[in-house]
Amino acid sequence: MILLIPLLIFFWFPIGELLSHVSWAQVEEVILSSSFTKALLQTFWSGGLGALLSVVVATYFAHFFAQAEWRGQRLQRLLLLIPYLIPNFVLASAYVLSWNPATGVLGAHLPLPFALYSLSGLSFVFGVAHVPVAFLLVEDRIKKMDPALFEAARLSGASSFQTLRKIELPLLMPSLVSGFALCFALNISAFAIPAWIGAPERVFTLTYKIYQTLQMGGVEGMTKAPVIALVLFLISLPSFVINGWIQRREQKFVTVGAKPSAKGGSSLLSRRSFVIFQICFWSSQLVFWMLPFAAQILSTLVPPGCLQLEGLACLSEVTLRSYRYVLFELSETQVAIVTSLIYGGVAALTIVLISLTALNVGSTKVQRLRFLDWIFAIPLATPGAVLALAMIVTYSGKYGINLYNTAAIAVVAYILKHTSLCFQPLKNGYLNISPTLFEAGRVFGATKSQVWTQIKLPILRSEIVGGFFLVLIPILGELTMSIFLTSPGFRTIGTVIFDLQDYADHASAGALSVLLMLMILFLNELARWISRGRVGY
Amino acid sequence: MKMKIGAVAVVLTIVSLGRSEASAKSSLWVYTSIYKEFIRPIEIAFEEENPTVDVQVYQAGSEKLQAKFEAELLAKRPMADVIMSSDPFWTYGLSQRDLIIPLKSGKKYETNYYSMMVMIVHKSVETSKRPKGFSDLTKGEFSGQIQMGSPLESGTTFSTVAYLSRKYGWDYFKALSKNRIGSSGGNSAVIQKVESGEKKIGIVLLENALASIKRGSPIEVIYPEDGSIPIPSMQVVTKTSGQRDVAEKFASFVMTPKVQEMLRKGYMYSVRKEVPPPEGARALTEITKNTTPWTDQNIEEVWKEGQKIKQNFSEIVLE
Amino acid sequence: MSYLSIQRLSKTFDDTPVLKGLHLEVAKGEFVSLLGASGSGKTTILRCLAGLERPDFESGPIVLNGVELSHKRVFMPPEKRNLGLVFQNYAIWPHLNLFENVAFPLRVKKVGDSRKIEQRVNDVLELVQLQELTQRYGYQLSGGQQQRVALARALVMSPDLLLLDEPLSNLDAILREELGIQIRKLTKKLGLTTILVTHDQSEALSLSDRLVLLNYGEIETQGRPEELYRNPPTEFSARFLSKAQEIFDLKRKRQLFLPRNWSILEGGEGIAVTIASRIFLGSEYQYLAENSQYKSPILFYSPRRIEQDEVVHLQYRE
Repeated sequence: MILLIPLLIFFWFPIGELLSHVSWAQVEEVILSSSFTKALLQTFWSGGLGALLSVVVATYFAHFFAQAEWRGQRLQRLLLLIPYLIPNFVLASAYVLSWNPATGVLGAHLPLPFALYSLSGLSFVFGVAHVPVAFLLVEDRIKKMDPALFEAARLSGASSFQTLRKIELPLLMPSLVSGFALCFALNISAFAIPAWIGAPERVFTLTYKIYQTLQMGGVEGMTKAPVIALVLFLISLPSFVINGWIQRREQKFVTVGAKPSAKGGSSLLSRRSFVIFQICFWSSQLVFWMLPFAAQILSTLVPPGCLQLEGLACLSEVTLRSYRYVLFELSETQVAIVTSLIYGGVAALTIVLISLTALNVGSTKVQRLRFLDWIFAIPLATPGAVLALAMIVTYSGKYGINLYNTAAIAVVAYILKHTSLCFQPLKNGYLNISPTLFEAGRVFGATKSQVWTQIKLPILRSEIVGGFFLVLIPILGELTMSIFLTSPGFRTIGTVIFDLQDYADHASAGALSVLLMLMILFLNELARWISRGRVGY
Repeated sequence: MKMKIGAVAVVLTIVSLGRSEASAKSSLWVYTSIYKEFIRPIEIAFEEENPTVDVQVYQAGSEKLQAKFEAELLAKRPMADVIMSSDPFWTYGLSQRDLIIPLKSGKKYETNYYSMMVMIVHKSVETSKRPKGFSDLTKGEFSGQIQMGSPLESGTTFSTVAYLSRKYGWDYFKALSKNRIGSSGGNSAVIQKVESGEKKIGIVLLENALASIKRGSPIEVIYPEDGSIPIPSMQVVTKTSGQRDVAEKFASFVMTPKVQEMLRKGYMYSVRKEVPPPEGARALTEITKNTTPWTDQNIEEVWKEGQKIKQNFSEIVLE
Repeated sequence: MSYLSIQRLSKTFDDTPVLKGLHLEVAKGEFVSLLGASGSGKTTILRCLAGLERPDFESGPIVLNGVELSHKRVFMPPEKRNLGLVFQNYAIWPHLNLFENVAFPLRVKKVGDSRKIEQRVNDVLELVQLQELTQRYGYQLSGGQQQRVALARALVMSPDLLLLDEPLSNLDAILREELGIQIRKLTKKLGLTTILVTHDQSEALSLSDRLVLLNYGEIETQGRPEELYRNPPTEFSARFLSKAQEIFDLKRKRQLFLPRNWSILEGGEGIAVTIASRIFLGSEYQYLAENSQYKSPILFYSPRRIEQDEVVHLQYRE
């Protein structure tokens, strides 16, 4: 228990320190302005509609993925999850390239039924970006349900649609609600998508307001931004609470499943519905990301502006110039790849250690684990820029620790922000292991630490490897915090992409983004390979 | 047991990362909004002349630079020795807030180069259909085609809005708003919109435009007939600098013909008359014929009215 | 002084007392069953013995073979106690194969070199007849095989005390009987002192030297299985062990009958009853018989097949 306090201080103190500079007058000023109210409403609507889209699409697909088996399923599943593996700013810029109102390269042949730069457009891209998150949650839930439940319904005379409506959906309701809550929380805290899709037509969200406040707000901006961040946090609070409540309730349902991995329902899926599913799958994936990404990749291979002006006629001018430039001529890239991997690796490793320590402290006490969830979730819910400034204010020696202008401050910020991502799956894995396995270790002569090294760690191995990669991936593309916390010799792939964009070299920035994408896909495969398929997507 | 190992590992990692950057030379911290590509040769040249000094550069847009330094002030640990920012009003503000010391020249702050705000156009637009000056942008024929940055997000755009609102009044922006001008991000975002053809005309920094054209971007520069907008970059030495002498030395070094020539290579205009304009750009006197120059007085006014200018712009254009 | 002595053992979870100052003495080599319904505290006793739970502070000492395992501030951690424990779910470590699961106690205690360890593991595996499957993992084994791995692992250190936590409850009926007998034989052969926790009366009756019946954290009664079964000293033990039947006579007086004590009398004496239902149990039949003396039908067993509605005469012998 005593170790909870240092963890609490480590994870919460910087944010608290920054908030301590806020005055009540500023809170009033922020909250009473009309642009704030507008941004709040737009955040709410776009986040909610986006989450709804994610959950509906994800549920339909999960219904098939969890219950049927077919050739090429693993590949299709990976394709479905790709938007999750790609940094959001790449997805957003691909949409701008494809569907901007004037020169969208897909707009002429495949128009969206709404304007891209609008509240609907913003909600749509949010939805696309987080389908994978909802999918993973719902699929897991369906897999844990006993197929006999559906078989019983069919034998009682229900059609497959009736079974879906009267048995499957009601049973799924808890995870649908928690999937919605999770997507909503991710949507309202996202920055890249609102910046690319919302800002051009002034559909501002709270995260964008925070960015504007920090950009040109001067000293006041620095203390006003955390106020907006706090509001943002408060509106995401209900979704956290609902999620926790649902999960607790769901514990009771878990016993429903007898054989978690059995795919007994496949015989009950009709051929016709399967074909319809395949058509929906491929057409939606084409529109959601395949075509936009293809356009994005193509645009890095031709001269700037060419694709928009001349369309596919550009293909005669294909050149790898941008790739050559970022890989071999821009000296920063190679350094950035190496340092990203090193600092990202150190941060990810420390996160794994902290998560394991926290698990040890929390052990199997549900109350403590829930408290730990909170400790880690709050920095995750704090916008990166605000967290970065909090780090500067706290760690420049004011409290005896001076990490400023060293790589350590960025590494610590990465740790604060991402621990939750590693702790969640690790905790779930841990709770799924019967405690008797650990008790048996003690009874048969192992000390506490021997139980850790010889039983807990080996059993949790794939969750540990998975957690490591799960945090390494976002850290590699991390941008917002890295820019503020840069120090001599500190270059990450994210900051190089940002610099290139800042310098209006969009072709090179695009090329480097594509390389980052390939690197992430490679890491994913590596994680799968190391964990023998138990980790990764 | 395991917790202790974990805790020790965390501490060791942090400490070792913190230590590894220590250096024997004295470090001079320069905060600048000059692009990395162009500040790097200046850094090297200074170090060659002053081998005991290790110049450390924090490079970022003037907005991030400002946020970082203000955060340092809040933590009571300002790091910068020399600040060279393309936001003259903030730099001026530093001098008014008693945060700097006078330079060798006796001035509190010094303009070390000019960036120029001009217009760009997608090259597919016929010459006869291009605007000739900033004042043309209010014409109905350009409706929906113009893009500029946002003064809430970009320092140079803020300077531009400050300049244009003083020159043409807020009615000018009301007309732009009626013409559905796009306003978001900074210079880079403007180039991206015009380069991709999404918008036809942009208000953007000349240095960004020239660099993009060199990379093959399908845009062309329009030097506005009513005068390009000069954005002075100002340098100051901070009061908290631990090595004022070296800092002052660096500031004077930037003013030498040698460094001014280097800045010219980065498409910036030198403050020295003998240094020619950047490659591919017209002469300073030519493009600023009709420009209203900045004076200390109106810089001070803009510094004081900053919040009001942003608010007016928000109300007229962004809402 | 007995081999294992438990004095005034109490354990409270969140203000709910689960064990209420319980005494138990076990002789060396004895096979004792702790029988009780769920919530009776039987597993908690086992966990206190194993050191997986710490007894309440006011508890008396637990002494095994002259060594104090726990008393007041004294608490010997589980790994120092040298006990064997077979868990209800067997707790076969999924990351280790069968051989390594059994070798684990030897390896962490660093008993001998690898050759010696291999020898010892193979000996124990032979004892439970699992020599062939040493490379398999837990999920590749059947329930019975997993149970035997768990047993082998518990035996490999020659424990001072063998604890069995419902070791047979996850197995099917035939296997349960077979493995039960095997466990009994093995413990007797090795001279092990064994404590079996179970909720199954027949298991407790058939395997143990002594049966301890628990009721809400206290010992209800204890003794040799046959004696307890035939003459349950309390109403609770009569119901729990011998399936005693509660019947009211016509004067609304309550009476308790052990079904096994009813027998069929030839020649028209005793109570005349009419057979209402019959269930075939394999070696015998279970009957419910209507009668004029009691308000509800009498439950009794007999190897004889009697047709429904047939009238027979019953006699009750205490």
